[in-house]
Amino acid sequence: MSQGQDVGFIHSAVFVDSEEELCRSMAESAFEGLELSEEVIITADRDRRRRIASLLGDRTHQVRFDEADSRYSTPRSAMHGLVKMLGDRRRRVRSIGEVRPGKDRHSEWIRYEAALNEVLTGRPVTGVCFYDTRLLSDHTRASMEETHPCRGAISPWEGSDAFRPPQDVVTDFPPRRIHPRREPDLLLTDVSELRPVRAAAADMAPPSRADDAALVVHELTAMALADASVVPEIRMWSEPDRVAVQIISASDSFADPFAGLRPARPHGNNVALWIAGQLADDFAVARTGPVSEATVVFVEDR
Amino acid sequence: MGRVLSHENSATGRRHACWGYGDEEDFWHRVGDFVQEGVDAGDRVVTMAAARVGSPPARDAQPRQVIRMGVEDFQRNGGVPGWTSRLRRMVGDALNDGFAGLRLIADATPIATSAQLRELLPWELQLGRLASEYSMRVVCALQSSAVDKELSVDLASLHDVVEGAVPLPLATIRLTSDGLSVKGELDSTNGDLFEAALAETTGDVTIEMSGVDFMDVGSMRVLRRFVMETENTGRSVTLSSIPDSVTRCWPLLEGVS
Repeated sequence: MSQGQDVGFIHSAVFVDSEEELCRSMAESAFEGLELSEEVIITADRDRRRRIASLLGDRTHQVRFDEADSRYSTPRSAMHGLVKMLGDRRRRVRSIGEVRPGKDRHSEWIRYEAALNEVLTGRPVTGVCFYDTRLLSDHTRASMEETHPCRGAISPWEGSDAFRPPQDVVTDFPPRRIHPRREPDLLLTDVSELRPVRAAAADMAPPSRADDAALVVHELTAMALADASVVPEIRMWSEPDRVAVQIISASDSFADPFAGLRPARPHGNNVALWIAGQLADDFAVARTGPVSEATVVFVEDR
Repeated sequence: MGRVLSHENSATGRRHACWGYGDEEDFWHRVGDFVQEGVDAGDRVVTMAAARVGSPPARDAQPRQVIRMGVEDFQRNGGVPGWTSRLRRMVGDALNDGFAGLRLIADATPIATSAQLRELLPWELQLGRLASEYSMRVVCALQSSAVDKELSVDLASLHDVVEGAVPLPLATIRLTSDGLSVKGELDSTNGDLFEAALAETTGDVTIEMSGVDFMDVGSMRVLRRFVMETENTGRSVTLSSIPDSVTRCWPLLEGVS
């Protein structure tokens, strides 16, 4: 695969097994990006930034560094950070960073990497994703190979035989469901009005999250009502420090495999899932036959 | 009197009220009270209705203190622009004639049943602004059974006070000297009204939002579009006291173009 301004999204994985190799390879990729007049952004923690800067030398000031902890705290925050970073840039961007799936969220990170292929299609972005094989299980490594069409830190980008279309990958890694453990404190049935629903969500949420809960629940309910005249059920659970709301749609309204990871289209109708993913502390969607559900949790700010 | 939603203008204590009445007797009874209150307060009082007579004369009214006009005066005198400047002159005349201010009670039912919101919106916004800037108290009366309910709610949104048999609006929108002031909740039921009101602003504009309790994504998009399109024309837009939820959600709407 060749490098060029009109190629669209290039998504490449690099597997390393030492910090030295990782930093050297990141610097090598950065140098190429600078030579190609790309805007180069490296996401790394402070120690790694120092090591890479020593390799970049007097070209360090031409590279932008982002803090790894905030950018890669969760897949949803990583997607938001990426979208915000890209903005409406016309110049090609090269984003270089290490993703650490960890044990608890590896399937969410796999979904994130798959979603990038969907979300950034056609955008002038080169995403070079580094993985430390010492921290990956074989299973996770194999999944990451499936989510990156290319291999390597610099061009020519080596095509990956393991790559699978994003919709196929997310089928193997469906989003987890949120299962509240008790009966809801409030059950609304045959809902057709939005105002009482958002008022209820605000009332049951901790005060610091009342506004976000009202907005997200309003938008998800509105999304479900766009497909059917009533929403069969809305369930709410309230604890002193949190609220959980589950909206059951009469149709497959919420059955987006990339729910929460797909940024809002300027005039599109997926904004509810996007803002739910960004504003809620926890968010999950599920489909059961012809119906679908969306569950959001808001936790008190501390 | 019924439910009252107040958006009191604290600067002058004057109000622009929307009042829903049941029948003619109800209307003329209120007119009588309104006129007497105005006379007692030393204001010049103007009544505007389909019939020029209908309420008994006010006690102790001075010469030319109470003026009765027909609805056809509004329709004949140039619509919104004509009446906006005419009202300014009427306030000035009242003050020059030694009265404390001007009060107007108008039966807006014939106008509301023959015009659409887009024609009435500029009038009500300008009337509200005049009431806040001058010594005016205005009551716009609507016969609840004759005016479309949705239009009634939209019109009520453009008033400081809603009284009587008019459904309470979710939000109130006022034109101010430097832009727009919005209170209450904005969602799909009043998003079009919000957009139309924004379009009535001129020059550099401040949108005051300290009283906004809720704003859905659709309304945020309306506001974003207004900000971008307005600033492209060289005008400045200031968003004052944006709710925290809007501040958090706004960057999320930029999306991927």
